[in-house]
Amino acid sequence: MNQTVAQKSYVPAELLALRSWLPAAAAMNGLLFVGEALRASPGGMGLTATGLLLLLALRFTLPAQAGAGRLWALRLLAMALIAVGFGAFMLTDRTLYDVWSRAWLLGPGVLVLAWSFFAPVQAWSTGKGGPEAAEEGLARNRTRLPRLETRALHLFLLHAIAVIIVPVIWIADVAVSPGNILGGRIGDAFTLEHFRSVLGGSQFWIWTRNSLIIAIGTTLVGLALAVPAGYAYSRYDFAGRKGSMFAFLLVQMFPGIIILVPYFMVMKTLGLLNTSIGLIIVYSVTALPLCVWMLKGFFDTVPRALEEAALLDGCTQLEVFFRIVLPLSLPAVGMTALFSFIAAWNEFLLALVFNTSNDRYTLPVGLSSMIPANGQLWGDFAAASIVVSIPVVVLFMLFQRSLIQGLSAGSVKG
Amino acid sequence: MSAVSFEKTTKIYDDGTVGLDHLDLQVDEGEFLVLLGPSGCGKSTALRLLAGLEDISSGAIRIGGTCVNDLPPGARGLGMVFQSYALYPHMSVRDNLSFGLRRMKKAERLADSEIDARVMVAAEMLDLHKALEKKPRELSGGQQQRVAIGRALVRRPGVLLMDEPLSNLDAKLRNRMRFELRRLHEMHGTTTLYVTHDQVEAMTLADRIAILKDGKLQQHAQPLAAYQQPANAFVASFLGTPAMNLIEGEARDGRFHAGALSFDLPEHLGDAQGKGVFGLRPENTRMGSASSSKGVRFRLGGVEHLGGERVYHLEAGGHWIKALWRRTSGSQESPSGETGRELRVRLDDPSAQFFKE
Amino acid sequence: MAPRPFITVLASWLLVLSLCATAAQAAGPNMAVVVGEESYRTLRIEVTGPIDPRTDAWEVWFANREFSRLDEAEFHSLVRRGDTSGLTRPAVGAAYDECRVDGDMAHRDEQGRPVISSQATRWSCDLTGMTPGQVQWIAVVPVDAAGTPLLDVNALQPVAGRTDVPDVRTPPPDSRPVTYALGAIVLSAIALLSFLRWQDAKRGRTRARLAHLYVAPGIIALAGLTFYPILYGIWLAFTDADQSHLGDTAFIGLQNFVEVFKTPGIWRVTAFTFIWSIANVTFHVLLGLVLALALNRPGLKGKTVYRTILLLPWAIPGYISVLAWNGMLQPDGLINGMLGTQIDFLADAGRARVVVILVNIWLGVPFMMASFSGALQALGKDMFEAAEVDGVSRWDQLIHLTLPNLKATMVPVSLLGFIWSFNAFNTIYLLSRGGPYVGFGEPGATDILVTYVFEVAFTYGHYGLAAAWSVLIFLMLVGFSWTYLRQTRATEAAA
Repeated sequence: MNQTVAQKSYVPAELLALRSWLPAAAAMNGLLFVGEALRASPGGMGLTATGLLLLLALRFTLPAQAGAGRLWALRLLAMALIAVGFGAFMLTDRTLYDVWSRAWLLGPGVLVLAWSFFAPVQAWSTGKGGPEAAEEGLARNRTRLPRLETRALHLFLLHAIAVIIVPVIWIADVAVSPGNILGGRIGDAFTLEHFRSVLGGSQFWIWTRNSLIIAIGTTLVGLALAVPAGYAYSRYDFAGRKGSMFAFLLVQMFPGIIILVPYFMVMKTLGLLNTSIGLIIVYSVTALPLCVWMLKGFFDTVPRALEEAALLDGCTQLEVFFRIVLPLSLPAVGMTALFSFIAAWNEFLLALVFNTSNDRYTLPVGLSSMIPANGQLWGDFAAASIVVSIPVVVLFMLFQRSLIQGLSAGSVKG
Repeated sequence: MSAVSFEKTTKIYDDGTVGLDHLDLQVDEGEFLVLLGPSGCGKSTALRLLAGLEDISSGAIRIGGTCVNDLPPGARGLGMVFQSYALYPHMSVRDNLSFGLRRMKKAERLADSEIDARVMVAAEMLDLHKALEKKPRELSGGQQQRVAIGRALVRRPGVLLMDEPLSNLDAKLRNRMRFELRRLHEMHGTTTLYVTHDQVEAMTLADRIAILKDGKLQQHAQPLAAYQQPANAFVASFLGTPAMNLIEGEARDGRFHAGALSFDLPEHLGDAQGKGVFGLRPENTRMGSASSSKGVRFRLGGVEHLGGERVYHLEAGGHWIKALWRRTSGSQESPSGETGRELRVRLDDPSAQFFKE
Repeated sequence: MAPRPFITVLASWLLVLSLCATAAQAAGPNMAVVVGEESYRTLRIEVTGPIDPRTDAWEVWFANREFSRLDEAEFHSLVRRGDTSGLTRPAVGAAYDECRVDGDMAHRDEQGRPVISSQATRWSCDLTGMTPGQVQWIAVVPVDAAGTPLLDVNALQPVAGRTDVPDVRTPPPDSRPVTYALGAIVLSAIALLSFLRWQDAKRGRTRARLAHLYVAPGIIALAGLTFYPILYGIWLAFTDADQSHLGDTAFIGLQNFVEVFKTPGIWRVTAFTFIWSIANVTFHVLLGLVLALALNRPGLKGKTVYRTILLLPWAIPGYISVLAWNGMLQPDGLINGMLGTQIDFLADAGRARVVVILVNIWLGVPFMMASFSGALQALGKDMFEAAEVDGVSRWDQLIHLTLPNLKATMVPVSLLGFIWSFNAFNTIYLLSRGGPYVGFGEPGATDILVTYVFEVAFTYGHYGLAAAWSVLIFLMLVGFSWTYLRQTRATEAAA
């Protein structure tokens, strides 16, 4: 058969879309199968697995080339899929989750069924369309296919952000719900009692003070150590440069747990447990390698010519550093400071080990102590979490691009 | 091998900028067409529309008579050489050359032996057979360039597209590759569309040049014709170094008035009337001493010595023009270059042009 | 002058006598409870006969004030009495809350509870996990088989003990060795840097005159506070350091390592740690890649919004997210609400394992997404346009162009991800505390190596043992990383 170029390269957009959507729906049902297993529902598991197999069968029944036919087989399978989805839906309590999870069987089924009756799809599958039909189809595909793809992409991304955002909404809801109710409808009641009790009490402010002292101290000490080192690595070639850079890199790979016990012992011996200094020292040293690498990367981008010009103008090396390089790389230094601040602000394990008394707790240890010990103050915990997270989340989001760049310069290139 | 035609081809981007404005252009089978213009003139847009990398807004593009507006790029039977070469960095030269062939649809895929044979032919032709197992980053710029060309050629494309392929090479290599490209074209005779902003490349490579500006076609002609008979002041200024002298003003009854400067138009421009631009190429601008009676008085502003050539910068009535003097065997002594000296300049050369506004 | 010592001896003697008398009186016809050794967080109680024959078990109750009624106190633990045939005895040191019967280690039942033989007349037990630095009041209540107390629970006579004793009794640990070691390390770092600088000067590299000065603070801090603790930790692994003797630790050779390999469940916890890490890293990379590809689509509307929300798990402090998941996974939590069930996800070993992995996947995806996003943008679109012109399908572009070119990012990032997952202490600790419980002295069902080491160190107080675990974990990680890098390099060479 002598086909035109258009005929050779034309496949209806709907079928092209289904080729990738059906496996995606099958993968989704694989995930839902895990969900059914978690809630120990053998019926749900069976029907989800059946649906998954039907979706795969549908994928391989899709006509692969023009004139392949198979539309009736496709319709039968689609109807079976709808039946399975409907059955699975009837089997459950019809909660929100059930509606959503069954939509992943019903949706594809309905879509395949509907599209199998769509004229261009029928014409193509039965091989009736001539060269003109193919040309028209190609013209249609040009707008149709990107639109279908974009829709699927949005659907996928909406799922992703739903998974991400549910805990966030949940925490906000618990924080403004009276009592310590964990479930229940979102947004059914509103109270500020938890915020009042957290912000009105002294404990939260003690923890905040501890965290602030430690995080700011860490940032200052860390920068004081890292800025000169980063500068030296960026600018000078000196004996021991490679070796010491490798040492910094090596430390970054050490898992924290290895030094946890010895740190604890050293701090205990030196009497630095339950003090801010102990944590400041440990945090600034653990963040040091990454800070040095980040700063080195930033300093590398400051043109050397500027410094050379300053040297020619009679500045000393120290003046060059403080008058030229530091002001120019202030944003980068700020980014590194932000990084070490956030790291210290969020650190949990070392703070847990180093501080045993309640009034020395940092926020992470303090907040986590609200959950298991004192009768599970979920509402207060949620309110405190929001207060604690908002500044770091906002900072992170504002500076995400530079932070991520800096981090990847430090962690990946290193 | 196929002819290409643009029919009222228009590209308007999402943000409203016009990339290409009703382009009508016919490229004959086997022709080497150069799309020339400054950056942003739409020459690359035309190429990308033809390749299918961007969607056409209105009009049509035909390859071998078939409208390809809606065809996916891979089905158009093209080969394309990118400015950055766009080589696959993780593949050896051999794989770079054969990747497209090996990834064709099953129904159209060639036998492995055929693919290998084509790769070998291309490698021989482009002198790459010793570098077949190397990765692109191990190659020199010129070699990378040749791999990019080879990759486009192994497909035996109906039309070969090149998007500023030489701009990343140093000057010496660029000259050599230019001849290479011309030789390849003469060997294969593939219809070629070549985008560049370099008029030297355009003049030396092209069968015909299409000059674009702001998405519109300015002139479509053979290189020499475009040089000698530019369609408008833009084309005139764009072709040739140093650029054509252009003086804005008004032609009235055989004379040209431009502020304080006015002079007689040459005979062939005698019936020019109205506002417009007077143009004369520097090499046709002849100078005589101040005592000469013919010509317009100009003051010498400075001289650039280029070895065998000199460029005289001349001023009169606030208008600056250039005159090019070439040392040829047995030519007369050049006018001496004392800045500030007065000279007589002949503007009534038969090659002079008048572009009406 | 002479009578002085005599009077002293006499007075002491009288004191001892009167004390014995009080003790005897307190014992009366009933059993007697005495606080034996007191230490930081731990009290030893000693119970002497006669024992009521109806006794089936003893309940130990405590409070931090004196009490007389049971409802004023907190329950601490249960010690069973009965037939000990068929039960095993733990080795000395294996159980932190050691119980002894007539001087020997007590038997333990399947749940690890001590069982006192019916014939025994006296037993003692260490009560662990007390709040330190307080006076604790302890009462031991014998109960019969039906659980009825054999004492008047409203007229209890608890005994007192202090839980901060070692801090008072033994002098504070000698800080001189640590100070000396730190000093020596700092001095040798300075000496090394000076030597390097001298070398530079000799070779005439004067431009870098200040370089060594610049790096000195960082290097010294690194040497003193990272390399030294690591070496110290390695040394600790060969000592018997635990929380009750810090100052006078002794070298005990490989005993700690032998102990580690005798831990019941060591292979289970190691296997789960690797399953956990590999599952996490696989899904982090996979989902991160898919999301990065999705966000990389040109002209996608709302890209910034999507990206910002998808980065949230990275931006929110990790401990808060994990605790939030903890709340959502409670039987009355949001997840059960959505599923329409009442499941305690963290109570059953299999479920708990799946759930902790899912939560950690949630936490780690944004980092991978951001890494891959950056790498994808760096790829540029030319290469893909060339493939497009050549008619290469999108799927082939993904497999043959995108993925191979992402490898340079993927290899280090996934190794980093593996190490992070391996060390993801917070997720496990704040979600399940390593539970559900598996067996006495064993790691819990969801314990990974680092959480178990934490437990060994800070719940049981066996610092030496924990250090030995740490050394082994480190060797595991080094071994894994090395193999991984070698493997990926080998495939690169083959490709």
